[in-house]
Amino acid sequence: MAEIPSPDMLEEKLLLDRLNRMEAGAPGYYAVHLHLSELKSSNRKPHFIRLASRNFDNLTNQHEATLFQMKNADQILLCRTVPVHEVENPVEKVRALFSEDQLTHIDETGLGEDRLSTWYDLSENEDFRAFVRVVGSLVLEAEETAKREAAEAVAQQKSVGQPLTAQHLTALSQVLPRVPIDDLIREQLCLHIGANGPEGVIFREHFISIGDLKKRVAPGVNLFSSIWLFQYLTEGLDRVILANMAGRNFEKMSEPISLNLNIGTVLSRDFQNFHRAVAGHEDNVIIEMQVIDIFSDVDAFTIARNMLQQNGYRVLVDGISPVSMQFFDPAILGADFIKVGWGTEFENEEEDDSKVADLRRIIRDAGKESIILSRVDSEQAIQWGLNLGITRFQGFLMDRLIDTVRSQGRRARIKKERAAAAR
Amino acid sequence: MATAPDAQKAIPSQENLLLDYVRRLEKHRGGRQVVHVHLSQLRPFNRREQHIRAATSSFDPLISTTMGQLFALRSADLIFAFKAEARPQVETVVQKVRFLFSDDPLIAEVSTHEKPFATWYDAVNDYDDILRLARELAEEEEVRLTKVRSRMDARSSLRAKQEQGEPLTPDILARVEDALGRADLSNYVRRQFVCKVDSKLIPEQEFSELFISINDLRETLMPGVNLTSNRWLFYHLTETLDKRMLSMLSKTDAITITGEISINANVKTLLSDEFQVFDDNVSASRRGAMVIELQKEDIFSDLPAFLIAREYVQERGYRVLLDGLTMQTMFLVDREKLGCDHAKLIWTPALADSGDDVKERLRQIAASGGGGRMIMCRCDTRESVEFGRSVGIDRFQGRFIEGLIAEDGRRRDLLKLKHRIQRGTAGDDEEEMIE
Repeated sequence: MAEIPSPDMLEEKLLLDRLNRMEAGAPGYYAVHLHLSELKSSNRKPHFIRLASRNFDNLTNQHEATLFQMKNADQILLCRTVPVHEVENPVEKVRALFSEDQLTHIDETGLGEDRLSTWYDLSENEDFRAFVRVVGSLVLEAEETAKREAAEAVAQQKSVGQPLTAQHLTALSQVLPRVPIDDLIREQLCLHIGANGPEGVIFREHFISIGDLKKRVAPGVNLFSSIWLFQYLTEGLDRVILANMAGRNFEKMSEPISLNLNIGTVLSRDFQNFHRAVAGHEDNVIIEMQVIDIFSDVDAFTIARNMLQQNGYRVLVDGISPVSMQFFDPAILGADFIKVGWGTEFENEEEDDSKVADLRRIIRDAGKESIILSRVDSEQAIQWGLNLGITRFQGFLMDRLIDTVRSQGRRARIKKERAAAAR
Repeated sequence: MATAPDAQKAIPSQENLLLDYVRRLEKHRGGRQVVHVHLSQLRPFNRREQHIRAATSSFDPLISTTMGQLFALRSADLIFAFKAEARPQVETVVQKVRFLFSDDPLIAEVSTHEKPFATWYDAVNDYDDILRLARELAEEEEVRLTKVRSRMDARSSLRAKQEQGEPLTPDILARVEDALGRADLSNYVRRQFVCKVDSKLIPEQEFSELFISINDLRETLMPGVNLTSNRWLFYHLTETLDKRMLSMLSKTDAITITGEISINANVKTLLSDEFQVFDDNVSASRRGAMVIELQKEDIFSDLPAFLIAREYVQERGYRVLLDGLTMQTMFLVDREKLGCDHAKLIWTPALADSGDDVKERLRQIAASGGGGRMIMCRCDTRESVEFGRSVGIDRFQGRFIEGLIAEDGRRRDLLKLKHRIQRGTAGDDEEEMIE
């Protein structure tokens, strides 16, 4: 039955010990290796892995079976004379749990191997040796991870901080009006990318860097720990950014700007003041609203959107992921732009043809001029977007891209001027 | 006000056009008459778009011969101003419109009813009445628009403060949560049944939602505070209460539960240790009798997490309910695609006033997955149930349903009593029935 691991004992080592005590060719024993470490990073979260392990509770309670949790998220089940179908049942439940993930998809041809699980018959010498080698390398890997984690844990404790509470918010709401945070306003470009690179600026988003804000006003607090309290915090930040932007000269603005606001803010007096400052340049302002805010009061969103659009502003819906596009059609929201957040977990999505076709159709229906791929930080992200028909991009990479283009342009101009002077 | 003034001016309302017309009428009163057709008084089911359209188009021949002008108001009422010589034709048209709705109580009860189907005015004699009517209608429309426009404006927030109490601030929330930590909440647990309701309004209990009554808590913990004044802080508070509910249910002696129940939860909670503890304490056979209600905004704030949590809890036997759908979100969110077993649509009278295409789509959604998956909640009137049934929804929850359950209980008691009497006086008249 299950051993109780001492806190400082790695399960990888416990498993290896078990194997070492077994004679090679241990009759009746077999092992199942679940390769959960190969899940997309968004699915590999600790609480998901914990859920997966609970599927084996009945099995380990009723049979001679032990589940070992590897540090890399893999799970290994060691069984003795357990009917194979009893083990298959929970393994299939794990497959269903991550059914959205490529890892669990079964090869229809029946030729490929199952990517989710590998089975070892430990009574066979060859399988036994192979399995020992696998576990051996898992032990090495785990030891290194453990060392790294111990070091990181200390640093993390400091950087992430304790969960945000209503008490913190009280303190913050007193501090915020008194601490100047205008200098924390950052900018990020949204570019139109054509066949030959950047073809123009769609807008420049202005936002308050939460990371920097945290450093300045709440270093020990994890501002993202409660989604609701974080939303409340952003209402306060809206006022700061609106007041700041209202002080700018919209006449002299060469590029459109965008601001991310709560719907409540758009319908408030703070926005009226801002509207007065914009005075006739509404077509140069894009207002972004979050999908979570929209879903919680669609009526208010509709009023805000109509009011903005009738006054010449353009409206952007933010906070959509490629996954959510498969569950609701963002075009229904009647916005001018839809911002889709890129994540590395979508890297391998193109393997799934039906999903890609689906996304391409959704993007076409919504109008590809209206779709913006955000959080673009790699060439791969741009490729992924272009492949789906997206031509508008935002992210760190865009800012770097435009810097390069501009300095090239400047160099070319200087060169031309020099050439002209030399003539 | 939040909206720039010209936002509404784009299309003048029919009410404004009417007022404008009546003002100009002052100088040409002679030989003019006005009839006000009170379609807004019809039962909501009769106020369907196609019916209103049919009623409106009945006036077309008169309009095309320039005998009069029609104003179709937002309330569905019609106002027709016409030349006196056309009075016989106009009377015929009004009679025709009346036939369209002949099965409606407004028509049927017309003899005893105080409000007539149509009111007639003469521009010379009744000009002041006509002007007053036009003014009132225009004002009502203005009020309706202002209400929509200025929901966040200072004046209305001040009014809300006076009527509903001080707004919830982080400071108050912190104190409330502190007090909650020490309070025994089992006294605040309420249950409200979801029932299948048949055409005779007999309720049949399906499951009951267990929740901590925020209203009762407010009375004790924070009188005078308007808890819903800030959406995000309110959500945080409900999340705290949902977690407390879960931990109460984990301790079997805290509250006794019978029958099929539903509880509210967050996606994040389902992935937490608290839920594991709860799950450990629930016997496998009970899980099938439990429904977990999740809010749509919570689901969409992290969809991948929802998908995994849903798969997990359904695998363990729980059913998942998509909560908080409104008329607008109904069509944004697809219950079937999300893999939820049930969905709850919040009742508002506006649903009954919505157009035919909305109703048709609702009917399709209600029928999807074999029907019976859609629940209409916050039903506080008979109208809500009637409307729901008219679009194929037969599961309901709300104050009106609680009333039906109580009534049903009384009826059953009476029936029992009756049987007892019958047994006692066997041989007496057996034909007599209570129902």
